[in-house]
Amino acid sequence: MNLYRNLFILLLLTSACIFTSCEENTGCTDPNSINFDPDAESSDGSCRLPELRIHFHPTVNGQDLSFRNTYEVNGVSIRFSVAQFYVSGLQLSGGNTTDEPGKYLLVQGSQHMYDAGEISKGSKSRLTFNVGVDSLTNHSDPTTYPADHPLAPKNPSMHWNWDAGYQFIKLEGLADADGDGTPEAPFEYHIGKDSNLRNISLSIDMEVASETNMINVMIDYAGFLNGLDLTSDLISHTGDFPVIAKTIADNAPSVFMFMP
Amino acid sequence: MKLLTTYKIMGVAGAIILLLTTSHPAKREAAGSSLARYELSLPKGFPSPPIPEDNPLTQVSVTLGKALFYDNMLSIDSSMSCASCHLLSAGLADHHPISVGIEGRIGFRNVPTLTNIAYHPYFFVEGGSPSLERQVLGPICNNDELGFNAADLAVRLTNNTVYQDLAMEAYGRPMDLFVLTRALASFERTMISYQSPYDLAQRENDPGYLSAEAVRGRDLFFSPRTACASCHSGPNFTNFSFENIGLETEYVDQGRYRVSLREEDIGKFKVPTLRNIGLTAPYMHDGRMESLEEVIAHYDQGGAGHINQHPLIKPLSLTKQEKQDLIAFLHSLTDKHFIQNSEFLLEP
Repeated sequence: MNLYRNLFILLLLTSACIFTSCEENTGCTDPNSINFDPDAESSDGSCRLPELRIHFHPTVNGQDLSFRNTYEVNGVSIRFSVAQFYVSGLQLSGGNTTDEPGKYLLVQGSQHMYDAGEISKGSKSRLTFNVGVDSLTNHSDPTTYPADHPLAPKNPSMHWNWDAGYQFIKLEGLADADGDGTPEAPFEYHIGKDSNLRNISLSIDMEVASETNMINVMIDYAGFLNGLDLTSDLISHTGDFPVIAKTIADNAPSVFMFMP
Repeated sequence: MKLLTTYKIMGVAGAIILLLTTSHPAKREAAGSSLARYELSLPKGFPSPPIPEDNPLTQVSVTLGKALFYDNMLSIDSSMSCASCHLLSAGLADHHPISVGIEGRIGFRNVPTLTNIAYHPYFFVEGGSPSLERQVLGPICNNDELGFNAADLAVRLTNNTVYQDLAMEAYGRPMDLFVLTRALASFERTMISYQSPYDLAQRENDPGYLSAEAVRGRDLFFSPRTACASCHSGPNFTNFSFENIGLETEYVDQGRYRVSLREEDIGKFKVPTLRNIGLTAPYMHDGRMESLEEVIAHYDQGGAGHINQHPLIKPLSLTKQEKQDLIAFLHSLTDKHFIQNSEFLLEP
């Protein structure tokens, strides 16, 4: 009997502790958050950080990319059927702060909007990211990611299923190699391997104050092919034609443009 | 006295609260480790293969892996399985020079044996895959092998009803690519050959298991004169290094170079195991040699003189009898118990 009474007192005491702690002024204590409460003494877990969305605008020679259209690139008529690449290592910086939203994006010709993760409030002056996948992740196991993750196996495949890792950039389509006006020769560029990771740095101008924040970035897919003879340099799976692979990787920094 | 009781109760209550908050993961862990382990019954002195900590061999993972190994659903047109090219009767390889995939497509290389694959530190002949688990999607997704796409296979596995219970039991998750690759690797690790006449002769110190030719061939194999055992060493007759044996002066398949992109790796391939070598003809990464006679003739002749050729590949001046002896020794590595082991078959 005594035991039960003591247990009851103990329960009362513990619940009392819990209730008193609520009397403290709680709220969001993170000044980077949208709902930052300067009066809050302790965090109640309600903080909401601003979210970054990137709107990629896929284009070829200034026109919107369409897999149905034929474009004149390097003097040759071409048509795309696959146009996609990985983005990793996103950083958004301004003042003394650098946000690392930490998302991997598979940027596809057919999809324009990407959730890029959480950032902080304030003015931002630079967006940097890698085209490709960082070395550590490049050699990780795709089967450990949930099916809807950008790094999980995809169709068309973005992984070589051996040590070479992910295909950073995948461009496929047809080129008019014989000059008869109709693109009929397949081109196939599967560009990857650690040495072909490229860093992109864009000067931007953006004030992050609200919950969703969008950056518009234009992609010029013709830019990837700069310097290639599209009547003959039609294939590279990186390992077989490493020079073509390097050319395309080296072109990556000139492919992106910030749209104010 | 009363105060003491209160402390006691507080202590007990605290312990209960602690238990309540932690019991969930603790319970889970207990369930995971309580799965019946799959014991590899290897004879004394025969080394155990490394088993990855995150994919322990369990009865259920091996059972699931075996079923998958023989399941045609792993090919795009459901016409082929792993076992289509890795035939137990052929020492877990096949007899084509180059692998033959869906729709009769000719692949890239000779099918490697899976005999004692558990001991290998990397996979594919250029070492392009770091684990058995990671290797699995290679042949499945190669256009000229099982021709599938991994994302499409993932959907097929999710919709499959046969394996869901086994997947949950073995790995605590629904059937997916993670489970597929882990289970297949588990099954493959169980296929260990250790009962060839050579093994029995060694273990029981009784040359009676071997012919006189094989005994002479064994001595020649391990002699400095042939130096075979400087690469084909250890319990699996390979040191797993990458070597160029002078098959030609210009390699079409550049081997290890594909991974390293270093000139000195052109034409280097993983030293293969010699276990069940008598069953896995034709030979070399491209199946260019039809018989062991041709292989021995190559080593006797001393290679084509590629710039990366291993210095030990040089003319040997073997007599006809010595060549026969070496071949007899190689045949003594054929393990009849292994290829007749019904444990490795879906329906014994």
